[in-house]
Amino acid sequence: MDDFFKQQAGWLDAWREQQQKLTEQYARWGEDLTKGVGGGPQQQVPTNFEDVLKMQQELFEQFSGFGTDLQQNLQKLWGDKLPKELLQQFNFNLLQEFYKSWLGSMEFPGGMQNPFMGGQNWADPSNFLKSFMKQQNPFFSVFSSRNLVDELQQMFGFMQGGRAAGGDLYSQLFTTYQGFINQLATTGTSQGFDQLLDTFNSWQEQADKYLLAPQVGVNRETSQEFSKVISLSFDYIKSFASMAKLIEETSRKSGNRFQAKLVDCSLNNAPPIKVDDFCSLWTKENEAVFLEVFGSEGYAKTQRQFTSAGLRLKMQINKLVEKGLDQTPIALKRDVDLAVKEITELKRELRKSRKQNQELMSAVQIAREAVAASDERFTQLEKSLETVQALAESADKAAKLAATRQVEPAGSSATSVPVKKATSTKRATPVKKATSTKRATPAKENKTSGAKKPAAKPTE
Amino acid sequence: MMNYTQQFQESMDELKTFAENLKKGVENLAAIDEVTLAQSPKELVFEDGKRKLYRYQARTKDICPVPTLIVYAMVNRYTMLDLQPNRSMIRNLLDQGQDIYLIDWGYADRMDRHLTMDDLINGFIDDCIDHICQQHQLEAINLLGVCQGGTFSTIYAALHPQKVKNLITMVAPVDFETNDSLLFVWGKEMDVDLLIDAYGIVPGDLMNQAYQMLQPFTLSVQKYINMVDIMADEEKLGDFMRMESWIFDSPDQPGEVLRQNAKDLFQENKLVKGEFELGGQIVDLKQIGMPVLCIYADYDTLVPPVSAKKLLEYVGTKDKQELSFPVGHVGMFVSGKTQATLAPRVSDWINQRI
Repeated sequence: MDDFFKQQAGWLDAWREQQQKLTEQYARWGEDLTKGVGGGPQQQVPTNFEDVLKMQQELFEQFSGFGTDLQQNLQKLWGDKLPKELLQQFNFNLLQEFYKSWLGSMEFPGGMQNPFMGGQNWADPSNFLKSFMKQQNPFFSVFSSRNLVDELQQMFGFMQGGRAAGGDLYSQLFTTYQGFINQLATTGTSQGFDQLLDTFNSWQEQADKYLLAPQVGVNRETSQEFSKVISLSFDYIKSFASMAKLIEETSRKSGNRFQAKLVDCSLNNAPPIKVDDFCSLWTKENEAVFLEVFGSEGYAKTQRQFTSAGLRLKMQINKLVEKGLDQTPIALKRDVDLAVKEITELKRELRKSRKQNQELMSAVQIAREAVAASDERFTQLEKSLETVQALAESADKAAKLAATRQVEPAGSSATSVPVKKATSTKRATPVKKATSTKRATPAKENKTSGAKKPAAKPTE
Repeated sequence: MMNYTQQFQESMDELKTFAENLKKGVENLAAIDEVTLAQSPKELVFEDGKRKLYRYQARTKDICPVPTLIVYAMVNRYTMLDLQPNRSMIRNLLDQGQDIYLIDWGYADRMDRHLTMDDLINGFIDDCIDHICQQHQLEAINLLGVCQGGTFSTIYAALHPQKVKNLITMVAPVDFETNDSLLFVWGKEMDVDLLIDAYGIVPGDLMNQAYQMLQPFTLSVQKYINMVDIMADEEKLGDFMRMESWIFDSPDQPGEVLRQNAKDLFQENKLVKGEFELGGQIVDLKQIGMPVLCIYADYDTLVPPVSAKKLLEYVGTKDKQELSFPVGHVGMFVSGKTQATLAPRVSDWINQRI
């Protein structure tokens, strides 16, 4: 392990040294070029230019060498411990590929040939240089090449916030992710899950450093959200693995119990002969073990972790998808939710108003009935008053008549008739009427104790 | 004890029968056009969007003067109560002369994202009861709540005791302290907020998966092995398919309803603690002064008996009674053991209190 780090440090020193030399030589060559431009087209190749290109070749070889060494060391140290899918993530050949691709993708102005691609000989820079000189283009214009920026984004996609251009790196992560899931599916034992989880934990730790680091660039927000999706998916698959481990352990336990039961049955000369009996026994024995585990606090916590990880991932994906849809005329979930919330609130208000209206209507109805009853009562009183007045008049007449008869004595039966008649006709009718109208509706009251009481008592 | 030859012969016979059943069963399956449930005639009498109130057509001349409103759970469909003519609690109650109304919660969708328990209980249930009271010129009616609908009914009865003549709860969880059911164990540990925030409307299939896990081998494997035995019998296969159809007919759950249900009830057990709040009011179970009949299933793995029958310890009424049957949660409505006894006993209990 120490050797590995020493080698890495040594290579980095060498690389830095080479970069310094390269920069210096670029500068010298630039100066020569400037002189050449000042003094008309230069027909001769500057002496140090070949060295520059040779240095690119050396650099490429160094990249390749470093990548290969790193890969070999990784294989040596971790090859028998990490799953194959995970090792693929640490493909350091990417470094040399990147460098090669960078050089190869340079766009040279004026149709100049690129010496770094298409089978050109790296060691023979003269053709390139001649074509360059012929076109009289400044060398550094190549650095404005769009392809170069793309290449940089390809390599440093996360930091650049280049979602599309950095796709390859994401796809690498997804390849590993998928590999892990495949490994999960094919891992047969809980020990296997343990190993896999350890590996995944360390890998996730490293990957998260990059994924969750602050990002730059115009697409940084989206890129950051996307990185969070990947990071959360790690959590999800990890918790899935924990759940899978628990289920696998339980399956083994329940399998053992079933086997033991089968042996027991056989020893007692009662093995399940029929398929139905066999299946019933299998269900009974297995289910008992699983239900014991399912009822445990440990399982409830594992299930919580698993579902929570899945839900967090879902929420982050939703967020990302909404971000993507933001640019489209499609209504977003959050917009619809807001609208639905408003509608729900309005419905509540409507219901409240309707209830209040009903109550008011009831109150109005009661008031109307009360007014009607009052009117009726008033009418009754008027009639009663008339009756009383009539009676009073009758009494008065009777008194006068009596006084007259005292003067002239005669019969007294005439006064009793109108009094009796007035009482029976004037008072009986309204009372009966009120009773019949007000109590007619809740006629069921007597049958059920839950029946409504009359809305308004008849005035009596 | 059988010898090897006999055992072999028996195994071969069984295999032959199995193959025959399977062949005939596949033919029977192919012949089934549609699986129909809930066929008892009913009339739509009130609705609010996808939530509907039905009144069942009477099956007797003498009808109980106080109607009964059935409030089923939202997590499954009410069709369980009227699965088929010979397995129908509703039909049995109608045969007993009860006047039956039923709430159909419908299938929640995105429009129900912000619906709350208050909207359902103080809203729709209350509207339904008002409607029925108005139609019958009554001040109060009977309320029969099933499972989660029983919990809703209990809450309603505590908040509006003047509108409930008699309260009947069936396999309804009230006290969530127990861990006798796996659902209660898992429910306490679940990150409910995360679930609701992620889904908004929680898929019914998610709930179904949880139910499946309550008996993972029985419900996922054994049930279908046993199915082969009855496949050749068209009638039994029809019964099986109806049940299967009901089991997986699980509506999605309005998020906010589930949030309050899971957090306040499953996790914090607020109802029996007297801390449950709805529409700005604390639900006090002591306010339940009307007669209460609490029905539970002895072998219920979804709602443990203790969770259901604890209700009687908290209500304010003195007229309270419990009734249990030696069945499971679903068996309460479809088991042959309950078909002949459940409805008559409920009906008698109601009639004695009218």
